[in-house]
Amino acid sequence: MREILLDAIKSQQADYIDIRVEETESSFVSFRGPELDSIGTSTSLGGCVRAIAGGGWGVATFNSLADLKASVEAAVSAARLVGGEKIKLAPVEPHVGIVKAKLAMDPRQVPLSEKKRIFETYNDIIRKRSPKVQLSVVSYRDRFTRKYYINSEGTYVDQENCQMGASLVALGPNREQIYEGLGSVEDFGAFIGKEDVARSVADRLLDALDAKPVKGGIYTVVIDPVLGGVFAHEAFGHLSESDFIYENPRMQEIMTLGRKFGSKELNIVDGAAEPGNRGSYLYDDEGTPASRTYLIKEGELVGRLHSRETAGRMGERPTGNARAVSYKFPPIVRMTNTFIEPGDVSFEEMISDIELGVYALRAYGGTTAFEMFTFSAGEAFMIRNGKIAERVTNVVLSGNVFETLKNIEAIGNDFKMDNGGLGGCGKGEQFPLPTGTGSPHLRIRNVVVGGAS
Amino acid sequence: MKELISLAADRGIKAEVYRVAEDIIPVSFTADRLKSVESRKSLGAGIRVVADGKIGSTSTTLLDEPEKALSAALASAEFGAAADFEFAGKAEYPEVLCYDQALSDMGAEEMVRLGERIVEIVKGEFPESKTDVGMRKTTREVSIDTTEGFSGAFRSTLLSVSAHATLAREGDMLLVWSELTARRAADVNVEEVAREIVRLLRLSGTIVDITPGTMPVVFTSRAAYALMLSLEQALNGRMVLHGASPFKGRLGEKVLDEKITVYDDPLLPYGTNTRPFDDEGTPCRTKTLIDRGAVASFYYDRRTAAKAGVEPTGNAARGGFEGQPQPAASNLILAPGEASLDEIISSIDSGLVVEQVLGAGQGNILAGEFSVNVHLGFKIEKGRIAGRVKNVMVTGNVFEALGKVLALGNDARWTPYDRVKAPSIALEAVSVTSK
Repeated sequence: MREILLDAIKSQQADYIDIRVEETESSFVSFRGPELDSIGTSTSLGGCVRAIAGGGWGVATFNSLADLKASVEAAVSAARLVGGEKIKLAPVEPHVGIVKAKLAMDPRQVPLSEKKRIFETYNDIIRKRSPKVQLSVVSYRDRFTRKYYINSEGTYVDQENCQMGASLVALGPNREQIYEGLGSVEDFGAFIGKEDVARSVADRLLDALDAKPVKGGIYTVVIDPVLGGVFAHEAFGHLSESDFIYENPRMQEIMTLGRKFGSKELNIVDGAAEPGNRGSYLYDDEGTPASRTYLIKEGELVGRLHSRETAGRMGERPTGNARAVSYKFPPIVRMTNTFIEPGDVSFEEMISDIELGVYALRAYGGTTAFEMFTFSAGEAFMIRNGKIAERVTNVVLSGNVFETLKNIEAIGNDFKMDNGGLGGCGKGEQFPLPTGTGSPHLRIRNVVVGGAS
Repeated sequence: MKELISLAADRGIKAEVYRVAEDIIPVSFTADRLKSVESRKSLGAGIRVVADGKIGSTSTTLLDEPEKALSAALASAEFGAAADFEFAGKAEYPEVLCYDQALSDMGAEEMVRLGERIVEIVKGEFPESKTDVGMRKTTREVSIDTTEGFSGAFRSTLLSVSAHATLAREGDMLLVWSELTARRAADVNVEEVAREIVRLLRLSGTIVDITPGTMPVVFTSRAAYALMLSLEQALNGRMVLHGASPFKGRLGEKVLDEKITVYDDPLLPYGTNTRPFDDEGTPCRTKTLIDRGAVASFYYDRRTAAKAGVEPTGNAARGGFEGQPQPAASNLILAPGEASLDEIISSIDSGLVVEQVLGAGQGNILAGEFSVNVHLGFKIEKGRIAGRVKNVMVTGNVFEALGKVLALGNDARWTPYDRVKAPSIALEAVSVTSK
């Protein structure tokens, strides 16, 4: 492959060219109620060429290696069309990297029949737990990717990556929904023997059937590690993506390094370099080595996420955060594994003096636009007089991220990474990109919770 | 990949090949400047087989290896679900308008000019604004062949343009967007996109407080999709079959305000999801789903229809060659009313206009729950826009909220969620939370 790519890259003249080719193998199985909804495998091969000629990026994607040279030509001529002020990529020393996936149990070696049997068991547990379970939906998918990357500066990377995820959902008679995600990047064994998880999904649903919608208002909110991770990712992480910052003077002003964003106890990190999480890798999609970047350290803004282009424009070091969701897209600045580091407050201490509050767990999802964020809790309880009280539904938290960061009153000592599920991060049209998130429990004051007044 | 059909037929296996070739040109502007031009070509096929009465499937981009794809599909059929439906047979399908030569011929240079025009107009009115424009032109060719005798192909064109303008003022970051989708060059009016942004930026100058409470709320045609998502799910035949839809067993029953009539119209000339047949080869037809507030019908793919004991409605969607067919609306259309948006606003003494939402579809939409951040919204006082509101959420249940509709606008348009065409919707009572 290296010779083919090298030959193609030399076929055109431009300031810079890179090519990424991906081969993937995946398998999937899903159940819906008593039925096997789908089962199968798929394979794909595709690639993406990028070129810089002066100030423009030209990009061309393809499905067949026969179109490789034509795609290089298309990318170069598109780049010429864009033109404009010259793009300077931050320097990365040319290097060669070969990365093999380290798999304790390789999903490609697990027969489809076995995957079917395992997830059918979980599906049966959920749907047979009670007649009140209206519908169970259990899905599993794995994807093994081998990416070849080459650029005109001499870097070559051949890197494997494996993603496995499952989601277990139980639906109640009035559309109540409880969800749990499972995931791993190195061991299919993470999906074996999870009967207790399936039982818990069904049991939590039964528990939720009589829950009332939360009363809207402003509350002190305690969020669990899953939702804490979503907060770190959605509310803050996206603002640290430098493609957004360098184009936007107002964001540059807000995101000035050294600016105080929270208390001394607050530390937020993003990084792909540590193995074992959904967003882990050794080289990003433009061949830059992965790193571990403090975004907030002791409450102060200290870093942000870069591609080579944004690092070049802002005069900073590339952080290895250029990622593409597949060969169909060029890489853009993305998060990898984003987490809030643990503090020293226990969960009991955290809730002990809350007279009236909301305890929100797990996440349906979240979105942001500039400093505004909104995310929905998967499950929630009221906190009354320092104790977890009745379950409530339809808890959606919303606010301004900077105010909210300042309003974090306590950081728990119970850190957890979340690598579960089939979803991922969306940015523009690139979705879903596997990312890891993590956090301890957090206590935040003055949070707007939507709901009937 | 047609070879796969004959390979399968020779072995007495039923097979279906869904092939899609796409040629996409994305052009993007960031902060008023042309940023990138791309060319994305993709080609792939999704294959389903029925062997020994069981379904198997696979997808591949390696189209010159039909033998390999057939064996991958057969391998999964060994453990597959029982096939209780048939692949599409020989059928006539309607002629529809979804391809335009002029749009197909539109090159990146022309798209760049259209983007520049948007930037120029917004910049002209608000020199301190920055505009991002994302444009994407897709030419698509879909073909489906089955061992049961279906063979069909069609081409389509689609241009989508979305523009986001930001305006930083003291302590306030305003983001306003607008978009268009068109299947033919004649419908591409980028000036309208730019003028809408200018109109909204002008309206947004004054910031006012709003007292939380339950009040009339108008979702303009730009935000109406936030409510339509729950209807789309509830009308999905598969949700009905599994008892997950609140409309199950309620055919003919009045469930919403009688002003609400919803169609699925895949034949609408140049509609954004118009097509002659669906992703399983079932010919498309127009259906009334909600008739003056009463549940009229549901939409199905072949497998769900067979299980439900009804005819497939031509609503299978794969979401690309890698996906499995599932029921999905084609062009989901909420029939418009007669009032203009201004007339609707002037009929409300005190309330809220929602222009842009954040977080649509992120809660439990199947249950009808919505709780969205009002990303761009205006307070109504005595029938007039009093100013922009900030830090506001609107919360409710779609099925309850659409039970009391004050009015529907005459301003139906394709929403950012491009399967949905809807007018402005004025609701009698929605809970508004603010800080």
